[in-house]
Amino acid sequence: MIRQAFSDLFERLGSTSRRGIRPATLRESSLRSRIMPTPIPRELILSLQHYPDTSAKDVSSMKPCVEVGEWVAKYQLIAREKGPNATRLHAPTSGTVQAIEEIPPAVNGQRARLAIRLLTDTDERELPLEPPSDYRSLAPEQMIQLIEDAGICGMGGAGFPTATKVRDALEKGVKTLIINGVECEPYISCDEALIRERADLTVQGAELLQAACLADDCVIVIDNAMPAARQALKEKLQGSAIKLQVVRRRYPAGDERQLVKAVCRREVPNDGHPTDIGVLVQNIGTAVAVYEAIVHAKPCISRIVTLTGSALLTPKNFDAPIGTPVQHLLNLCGVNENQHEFTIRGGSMMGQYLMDQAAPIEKTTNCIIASNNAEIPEREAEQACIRCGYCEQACPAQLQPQRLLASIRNEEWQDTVELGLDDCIECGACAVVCPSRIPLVSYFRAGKEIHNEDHSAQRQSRHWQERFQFHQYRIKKNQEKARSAKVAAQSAGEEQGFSRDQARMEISAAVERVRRRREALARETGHGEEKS
Amino acid sequence: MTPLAENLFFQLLVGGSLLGSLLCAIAWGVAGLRKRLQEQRFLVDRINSILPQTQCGRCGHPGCRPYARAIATGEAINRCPPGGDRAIRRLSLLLNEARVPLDPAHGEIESAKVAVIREAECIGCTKCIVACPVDAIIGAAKHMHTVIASECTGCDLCIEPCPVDCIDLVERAPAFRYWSLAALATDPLSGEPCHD
Amino acid sequence: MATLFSTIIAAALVNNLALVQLLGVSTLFSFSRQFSATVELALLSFLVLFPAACINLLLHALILQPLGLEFLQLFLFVSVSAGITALLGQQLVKLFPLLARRHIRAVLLMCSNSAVIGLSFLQSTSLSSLPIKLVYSFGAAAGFAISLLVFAALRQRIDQGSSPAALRGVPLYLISAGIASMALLGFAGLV
Repeated sequence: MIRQAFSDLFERLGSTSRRGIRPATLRESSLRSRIMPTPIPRELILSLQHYPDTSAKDVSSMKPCVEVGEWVAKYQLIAREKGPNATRLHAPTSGTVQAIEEIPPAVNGQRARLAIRLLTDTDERELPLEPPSDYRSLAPEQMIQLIEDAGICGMGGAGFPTATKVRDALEKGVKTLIINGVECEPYISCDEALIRERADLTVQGAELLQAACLADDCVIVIDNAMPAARQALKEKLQGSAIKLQVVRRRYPAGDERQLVKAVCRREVPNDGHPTDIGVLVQNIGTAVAVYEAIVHAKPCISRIVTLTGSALLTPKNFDAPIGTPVQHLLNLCGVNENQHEFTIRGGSMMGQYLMDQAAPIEKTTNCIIASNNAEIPEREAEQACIRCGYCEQACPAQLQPQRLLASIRNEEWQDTVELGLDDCIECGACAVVCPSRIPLVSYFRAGKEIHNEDHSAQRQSRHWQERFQFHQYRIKKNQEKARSAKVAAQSAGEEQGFSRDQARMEISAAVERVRRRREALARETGHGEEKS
Repeated sequence: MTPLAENLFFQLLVGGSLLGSLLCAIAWGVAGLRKRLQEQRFLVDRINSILPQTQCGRCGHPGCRPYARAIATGEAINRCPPGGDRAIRRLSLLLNEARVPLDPAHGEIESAKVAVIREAECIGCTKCIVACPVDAIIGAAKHMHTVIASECTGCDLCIEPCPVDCIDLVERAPAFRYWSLAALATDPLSGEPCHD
Repeated sequence: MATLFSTIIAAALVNNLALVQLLGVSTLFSFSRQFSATVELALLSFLVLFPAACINLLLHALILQPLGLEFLQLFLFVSVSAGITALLGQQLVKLFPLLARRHIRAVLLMCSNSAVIGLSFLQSTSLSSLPIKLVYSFGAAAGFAISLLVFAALRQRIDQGSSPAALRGVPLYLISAGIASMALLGFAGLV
C-alpha cells in the first residue's frame, strides 16, 4: 500500500507521467457482462495476409495447404507461413473449404488479400490434440516449437509472431519479462475482461513464457483503472514469483516503449527492440494463448474481442473464432440502426474505419466500435497553429510535433528526420490536445510514407547506377575483344564474310516487311469496323 | 582581504578552465574537420548519388555522372526531369542553393515510365539493345526482344533507334499512397485550403 | 585576467558588430538553405574577421603610426582583408570543394565587408593598448559568428512557419533583425 503510494508519487514526479493524455474511460459498458462464447457463424473468412503488413506487395503472407472443396476438421492446419513475419493458421471449426479467393480490403490503406472461405458445419469434429505429457519439464526450445506450431502472434495489435520474438529473446538473453495488461485506449476492455475471468490462465501463461525465454523475473503490468482485474490477479499471484505492477492510467501507457520505461526505468534505443536492453514484452492475450498452446497443444483459433460503441444495445466481450465476420458479432450485440453511422476496427484513438462489415476478425483485432458522429466526431477544419505547445507536452516520444508539422508542410524531409519523425508511434495524443484541431498524426503518417518513397527511389537509383557501370564495363571489354579479333583476322589474311551494305539491305527489307504487315493489319481492322 | 580577481588561486582556476575549454574546442574542431575532409573528397560522387541514374541525357549531358561533374563546377541544379522535385530538394540541401522549380527547357516532371516492346512487330535488329544504358533489353539478332520491366529506367533512349517504332513508353503504376498532404490541408467541409 | 574576460564579453555581446553596431549586416541575410550551412559560414566569417583585424591592427600600430602614414589606413585595411579572403577562398576550393561550392560567393563578398573594415577602424582609433585591441577583435569576430548563427536559427523558424504572404521573406527578416538588435541592447551595462 505504502509502496504503491510511493511509486505513484515517483511516477508523478518523473517526466514520463506528465506526457500523454488521460482520456475518459469508456470500458464500463462492455464490462457489464462476462466474456461470451460466440455461436459459430455460417461462414468463416480466414485471411491469409498478416494484418499489419499493408505495405507488402504479395496478396498473402501464408500459403494455403488445403484445397477448395476439402473438408477440414477443427484444429487442422490450413495455411503455413511463407516468410518470417507470418504465422500458421488453423481451422477454428470443422467445415468445407468453399473458396480461396481475394477479399476486399477491410480498412482504408489495405490492399485486397487472399482468404480461405470456410463453410462451417455444426458437427465441430476435431482432430485429437497431443498435449505434452509433462509440460513442466519441457526445454525452452520445445516450448517455442509448440508456440510456433500453434500459430500464435502478438494479440496486442502489431501481430508479430510470438515464437520468433521469444526465440530472439532467448538468444539475446532477457532479464525481465513484462506481461502487458495495460489497455490505454478508452474503449478496449478485452484485456481487462480476460484478466478478470481467467486470471489463473494468465498467471500460468506468464510462468510458461518466463520459462520459455529464461527471464530472471516476470512482471504483470496493469493500470489503476481495473480494480476487479487487480483483485483477481492478486489472489492468483499468492505464492508466485511473478510481480504485479500497477501504473497510472494514461494514454499511451500500453505502448511497448512506454511500458518498458515505466517498469524498468530504462529507455529502449530508438532503432532497437526491448530485447536489446534485456526486456521482453508480451500481451496478456498472448500469455493465455501460450498457456493453451503448451499445456493443451491447442492452436490459436479464437481471441477475445471487445464490441462496444453507442450504437450497440448490449456491448460485450466475445471469445470469437478467428475469421468470424464483424457483422455476425454486431448482430449478436444488437445494433441500433438509427445510431449506427460507422464502424471502427481497433480503438477510437488508433483504429481505422472499417469499410466492409463482412470483414473478418483476425488474430490482431482487439476491438470493434459501432458508433456515430455525435460520439466520435469526425475531423473538423484545421486552424492555424498558435504555438501553444500542448502537443509537445502530450507527445509520449518526446518529439516536437509543431516543428515536425512545419517541416512536413514545407516538405523538408531532412529536417523531419533530424526532429525524429521515425520515433513517432502515431498514438494521436498530439492531435487530441491540439486546440486548432490540426490532424497532426495524419500529417506524420503522410510524412513517413513520402519519406519511405524517397528511400526506395534512392535505392532504385543506386541499383540503376550499378547496372549502368556494368554496361559501360561490358562495352569496353567487348570493344577490346573486337579489336583483338580484328587484329587476329588481319594477321591470318582472311576477309570477313560480312558487309555493311548487305546488312543495310537486310534491315530495309525487314522494315518494308513490317510496313506491309501493318498496312494489312490496318486494312483488316478497318473492314472489321465497317462490318460491325 | 584581497579582491577576488587578485586572488592567485582564482586566477589559476579561471585561466585553467578557459584554457581547457579552448583545448576542447580545438579538439572538437579538428575532429569535425577530419569528418568534413572525408566527406569532401568525393563531391561528384555525392551529387551523382542524388541524381536518379536514368542516364537519359535530358539535362544536356551524356549521362548522370557528367551532369554531376558540371553541377560540382557551378551548373544549375534544376535540369533533371526524372529526378524532379526530390532531386532538386536534396541537391539544394547539399550545395546550399535555393529550392527552384524544374527548368522547363529540359522537360516536364513526368510519372515514372517503362518501355514496352510490341513483340509482334519487333524485327530483331538489336539496335535498342545497344542503346539501352542499363542492359534492360534482352534478345538476340533476328529474334524478338523484350524489356525487363523491373530494370527499365524509362529513359526513352531506345525509342529513337528503333527502325520499326515498335517500342512504347508506358506509365508505371504509381506507388500506392494512402495519405495525401494536399487532402490534409483542405477543409473537410468546404473543400477549400485551410491556409493561404 | 578579468579585463580580458570583460573585453571579450563587451566585444561579443555589448558591442556586437552586426546587431548593435550594424556593421556587416549583409552577411546576416546571406542565403542559407539550412542551419548547418550557416554554422560553416559562421566559422568561415570568423576565419576572415579575426586574422584580418589582427593584421590590420598590427600593421597600423607598427608601421603606419611610427611613419605617420595614417592617411593610408583605408587602402591598407581593404587590401589586407581582400588578400585574406582571396587566400581563404583559394584554400577552400583546393581542400574543401563542397564547402567552396556552398559558400564561395559569401566568402568572396566578405573581402570588403564593413564588419572587417569597421572593426579595424574602430580599434585603430581607440585608446586601449595593442594586446587589448587584439583580444577585442577576437571577441568581436566570435560575436559576429554567434549573431550569424542566432539569426539563421530565427530565419529557419520564420521560413517554416505560416506567415502572411505580404510579409514572407525579406520583410520579416528585416523586422526580426530589428527586434533582435533591440534585444541585444539589453546587454548594455553588462560590463
